[in-house]
Amino acid sequence: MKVQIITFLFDMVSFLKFTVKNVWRNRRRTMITMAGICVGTVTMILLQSYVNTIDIGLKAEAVQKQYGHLQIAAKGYFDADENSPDHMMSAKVVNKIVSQALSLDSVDFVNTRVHLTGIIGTQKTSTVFSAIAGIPQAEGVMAPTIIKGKLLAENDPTGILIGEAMAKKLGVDTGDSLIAFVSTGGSQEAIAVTVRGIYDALMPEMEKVIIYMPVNSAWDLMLDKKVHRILLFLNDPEKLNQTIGTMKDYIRKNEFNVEVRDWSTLAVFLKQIVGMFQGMIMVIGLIVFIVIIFNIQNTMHMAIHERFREIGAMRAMGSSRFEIVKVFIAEGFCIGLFGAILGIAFALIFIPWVNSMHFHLPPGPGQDKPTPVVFTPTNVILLNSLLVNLFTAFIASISPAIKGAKIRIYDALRYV
Amino acid sequence: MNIIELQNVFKTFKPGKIPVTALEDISLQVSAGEFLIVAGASGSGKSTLLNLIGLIDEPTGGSVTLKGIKADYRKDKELTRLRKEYLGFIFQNFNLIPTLTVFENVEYPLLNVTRDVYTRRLLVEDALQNVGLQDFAKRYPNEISGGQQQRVSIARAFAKNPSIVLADEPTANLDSVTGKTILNLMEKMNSKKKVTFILASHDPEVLSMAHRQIVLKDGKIIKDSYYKKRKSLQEKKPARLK
Repeated sequence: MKVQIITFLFDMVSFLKFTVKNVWRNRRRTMITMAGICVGTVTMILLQSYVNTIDIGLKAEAVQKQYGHLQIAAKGYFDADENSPDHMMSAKVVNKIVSQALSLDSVDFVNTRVHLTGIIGTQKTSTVFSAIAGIPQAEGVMAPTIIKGKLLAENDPTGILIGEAMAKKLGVDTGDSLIAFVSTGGSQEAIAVTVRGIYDALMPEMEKVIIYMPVNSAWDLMLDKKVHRILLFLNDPEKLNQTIGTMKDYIRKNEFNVEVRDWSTLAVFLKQIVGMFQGMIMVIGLIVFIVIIFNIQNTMHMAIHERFREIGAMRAMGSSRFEIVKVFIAEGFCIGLFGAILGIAFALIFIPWVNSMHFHLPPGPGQDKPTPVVFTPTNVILLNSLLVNLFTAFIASISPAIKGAKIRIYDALRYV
Repeated sequence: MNIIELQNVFKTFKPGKIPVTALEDISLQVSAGEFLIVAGASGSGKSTLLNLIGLIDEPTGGSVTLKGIKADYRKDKELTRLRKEYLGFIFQNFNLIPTLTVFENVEYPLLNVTRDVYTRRLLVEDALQNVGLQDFAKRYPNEISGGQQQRVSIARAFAKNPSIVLADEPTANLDSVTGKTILNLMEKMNSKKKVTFILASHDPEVLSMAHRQIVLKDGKIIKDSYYKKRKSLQEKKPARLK
């Protein structure tokens, strides 16, 4: 068995040697073909790496700034798609769940969030707001970039964060006082708040509406200590499923009318954005795939055309049709392999350079900041590009190889 | 024992509207170890006959039997096996691969004969030794003379130890001195290895070497002569047996 394996390996090396020599016969043509494959590979790697950057960025953003790793809310809240007071958890339930969550090693910290809408303004002007109220310490982690002032603090229960666009609209700055009105249970409640910090978000529309406030302020406005969502942040994302299981067990045991969702099921937009980019990659990939197929097919057809007599001689000397097919598929495969390796090498040289240049794309729809162009290749992306190219080369070589094998020996030997 | 048997073989080509008969009712038996020369003018059907014997073309009528196996042209695998096991070809224009060395040119067709690299190496070395090209193994075809290229072609045909070697005008592209060397080499192979040789040629030097000579004219055998003793390349007159 060992001898057979060694024989097979030596035979393969020998076969590969002949394949490489055959591929190298027409160097210029082979180089042009490989250059085409190389460009295709680099394109695919760049696109996938860019989408990967977006995916990583959005995931991190989604977990850290919006969802936490997992959330707990009253049953029906997640599907209701609105922050109704009907879907809030009582303070008693919230306290028990938070205590349980904090007792787990996998949980780093917890935030409780309340959502309110109302009107906020000065004596001169006002605007609608949507408030995200949370535990100041946790909101410190989740908060967007503060461009002026400070984050929320425990010792500043009336301090709020507003967006740059809202600050401009209301004509206020850090330290200025505002009045927030909220309609709760048929009555109007109002509290005085102070602008503690001004944040900057990617989208100005968000800056105009969203304000951040301590959960205590929200409770003061609501006259109740209910909570919409409990957000759990893990110290190790790998322990997500284990933590979900533990929390679900606890909730079931205590018969709380709440449900647990992980961030990926909540971040529907993320799936849509990544899905959209992946769709674009698929289309571009398909075009690249077709170009590479035609490229290799053309090369192989020309190689076969040039080697009619040789094919005839090989067949006359006892090579079967399958063996001829094997030779040409191996040659196409070889071109694909070298082209892909060259492409991967170029991409690995090119990507760090592009990343270091800090290129930016113009702001997208609804955004006011240019998007940085950063490529994050992974081993999976590189391997994927290699395999797609090899598969493409294989597919592209089949038809010319079969054509070559079907030539009548007599005609092939007479071919001039 | 007949190693090759052709029975009432016809071959008609249709290059245009009018069919051309290349071979007409050819019946031929060739014994193992024979050195058969197929002679005839250009267009007499020599190459066609060789192609049919070599199983690289299909007759329009009749049958070709090789080592007792009747060729079935519907079974490509079977024809390939017969070619692989029993037949060696020497081409007029050598058909060497320019990017492979002499050694590799001989080894290349052996890839499909044996997977054992060591055995292949021995077969190639032996074949190159037989044609006296062991010192040229690493050279490329464009680095050797025409005669040496034809010797490589002979080594390639012999490397797999075929029972029958077919050579179509093997000396046509060579000068007379080199041609003689090649013929002597074939003669040596024939007597040493008892390989059956079938050569198509109208070169008088070649014709003088025959054990047996058939002459084709307009696709028909007009003469089939056996020689008691093979003439040397200097002796010209064949002694006719029948």
